[in-house]
Amino acid sequence: MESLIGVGLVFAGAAIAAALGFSGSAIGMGHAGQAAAGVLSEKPHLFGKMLLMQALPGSQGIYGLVGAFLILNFAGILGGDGSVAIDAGLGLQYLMAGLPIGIAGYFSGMFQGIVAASGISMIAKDETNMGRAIVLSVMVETWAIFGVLISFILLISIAG
Amino acid sequence: MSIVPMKKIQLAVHRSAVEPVLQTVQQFGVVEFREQVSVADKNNLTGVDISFPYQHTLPRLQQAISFLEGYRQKPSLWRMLRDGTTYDLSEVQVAQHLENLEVIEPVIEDIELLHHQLTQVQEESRTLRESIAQFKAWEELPMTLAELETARTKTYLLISNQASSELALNEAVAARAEEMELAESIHVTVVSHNRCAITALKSEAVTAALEALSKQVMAEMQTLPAATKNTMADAISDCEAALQTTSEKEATLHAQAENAAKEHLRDLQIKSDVLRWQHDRYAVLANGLSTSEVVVLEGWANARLLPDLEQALQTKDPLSAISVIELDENEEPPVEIENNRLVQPFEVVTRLYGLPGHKDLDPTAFLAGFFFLFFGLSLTDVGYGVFLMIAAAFILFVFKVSDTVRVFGKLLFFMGLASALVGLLFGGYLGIDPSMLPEWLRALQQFDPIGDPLPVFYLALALGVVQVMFGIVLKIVSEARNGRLLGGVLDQGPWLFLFVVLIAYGASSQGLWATAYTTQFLYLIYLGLGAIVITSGRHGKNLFEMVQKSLLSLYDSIGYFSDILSYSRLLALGLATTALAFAVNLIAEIVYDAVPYVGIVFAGLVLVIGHTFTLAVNTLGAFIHSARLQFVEFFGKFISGTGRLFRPFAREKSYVSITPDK
Repeated sequence: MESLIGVGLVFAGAAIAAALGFSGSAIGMGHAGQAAAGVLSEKPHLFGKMLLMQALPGSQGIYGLVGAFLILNFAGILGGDGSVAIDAGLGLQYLMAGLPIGIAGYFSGMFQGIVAASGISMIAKDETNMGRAIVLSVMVETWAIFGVLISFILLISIAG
Repeated sequence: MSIVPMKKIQLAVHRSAVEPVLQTVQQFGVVEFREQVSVADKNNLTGVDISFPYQHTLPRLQQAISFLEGYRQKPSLWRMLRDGTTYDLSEVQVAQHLENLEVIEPVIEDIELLHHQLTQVQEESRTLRESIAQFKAWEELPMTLAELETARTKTYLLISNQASSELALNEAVAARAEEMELAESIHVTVVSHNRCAITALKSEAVTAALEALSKQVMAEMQTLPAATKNTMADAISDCEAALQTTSEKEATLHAQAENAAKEHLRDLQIKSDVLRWQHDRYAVLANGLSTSEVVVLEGWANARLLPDLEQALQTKDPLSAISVIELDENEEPPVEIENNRLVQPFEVVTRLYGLPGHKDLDPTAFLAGFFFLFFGLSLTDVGYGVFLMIAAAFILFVFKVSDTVRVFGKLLFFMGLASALVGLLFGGYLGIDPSMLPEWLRALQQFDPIGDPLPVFYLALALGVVQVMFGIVLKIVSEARNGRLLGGVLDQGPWLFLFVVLIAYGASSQGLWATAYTTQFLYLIYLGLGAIVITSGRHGKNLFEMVQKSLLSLYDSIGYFSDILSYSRLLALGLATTALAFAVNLIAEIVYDAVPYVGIVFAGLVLVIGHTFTLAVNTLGAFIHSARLQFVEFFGKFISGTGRLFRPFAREKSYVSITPDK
């Protein structure tokens, strides 16, 4: 029973990391996609640039996926022999390790999408603004990356 | 393999030779004309007073093509891909079309007439259909059409806007008429729940009152189309007979349009391109200056190809001369990049971002290897890689495509090759369990991204470190090219040094290399940090600013750090490929077991559709994220600005492909 709760908590940690990251990206890409569709109705030749701008807030989902895999791998559930025993305390630690990437991914994905949408307007006015628009948008992503880092450090600390 | 050098030029042409000279310049496509000419003394110069002779014909021609394109026989998708959508023409044939432009005028007139007739007939048909619908709506009215308006009375037809109302329209009308004291003056005839007719004496006052009443009961007054017959049924038959006639006329006109498309569309499309090119030549002239004898144009030229143009002009049109002129202060030339055949396909990635500034390095050659590797790591499957290579082979060797698509086809081939090669190392074979593979294939597998993701994670970060360091080196090279070697070394050198000693320290402290020198490497790290602080402060105007800049420079380390962590996406994208391919196979297996007899058919469908979808989604993701790593994490290190794309004056081909003269 103790072990089942522990494994459940590990799953919860992986699920939070992935699901919040995916949700943040979905919201962010939605914002950017909406702006991109508006621009493309007037300037269809900008499709490549618009696609790239819309993809930028997708990173948080990817980081969430990385985080989830790392949690499952560090806990010995993925790639193990199936005989892993995790008590509730250890499981809770893995759950906590999923929070930084999950929460940071959710909010940074959402806000990166808003900045990307504004960047799309910049590009629509002048195509040479592409670099600046990317940089502004990626600044928000920094915090999701730090979320990955803290989650990773927590995982290493648990394993250690 | 660099940014193409540009020269600012002036082209002087004798007025009599303007057309042939501009034709030659347009054929070469190496000059971009500017909108103004910089001449010191403009007193004797005026604008060029030569106008395009087909100013009104070109839009009419394009309208005619647009009309006929709806009637051309559509080739199958395969044939369209194989034969392309353009006509192959030699320069001689193009010249013949140019000389023969007047023949299109009567053809355009015929097509315009046909279009006009067809529009008229279609309008008649539409009106008749509406009339039939209106007559049919009032077919139940127990009155003849003549009775609707007599010498003394008029019948108003009302239709309710509230079809779902519980109260029938005639009841609502009767109730309101009672309130308005109109009940004695009108007669209401029921047609249906939401339709009724009101007959009243002809009077302006009654008409106004009934209009107000219809608004109050939320109904609309309808007027039937004019008809010569007495009954609704006769009017409907009349309209149907007329509709039959217009439909026959319409069919005849459609057939004529199909014939016209078969006979003239090709010729009109070719002439449209030829005319547009001529229009562009005259448009260029509008920006020039002229004396009574000479026209002067100004622009930018590709310096590598300019001598070829000069030679061609001297041979064909000696009444012209090109002179190279000085750039104005702070003037920046447009940018174009040029690479060898191996690297050229990766220009697609560079162009997606936008071209670098004219003083920057062309990043294409430097990103090519990284992009190849990153794409492979993001789509780690031999099967998908082979499929991409086959698709690329069709684009390159079977289909007739534009030059732009051909370049993309080459990139697609490289992308497929990368996936196949990395897939071998990752054991990715359309999601098949590696234990089911032959021993020699299993022996090639070096990474197991799902079972043991950490080595792939560290590999991704290591590649990030390599690319970021390479970007720093390129920044120094770029600064050196612009005469700022010392500044480049002082700004970037300490960071590069810090990266190297951090790697050495990591390897040493983990017992991988030079284990006896861990402490020394630690001191070197402090030295590197100190060098960053000292060199960064030198741009400050006073001591306070110097200290401020020195301390802020360490903040850049956060940027480098987040850049490197961003490469972890390579692990996630590779994992997604493997996981999705595996999931498709699992679903197919479940379907195979669950459906009796025809399970194999459904399982096959699941495999084909599922893997096609997975390939499409993962290829797009792998491309975008491999490109993003170049744009954000790599370009940011050594590209300072975005250049303005060089747009040479050339023939934009919509319908024609130029082939060599036989």
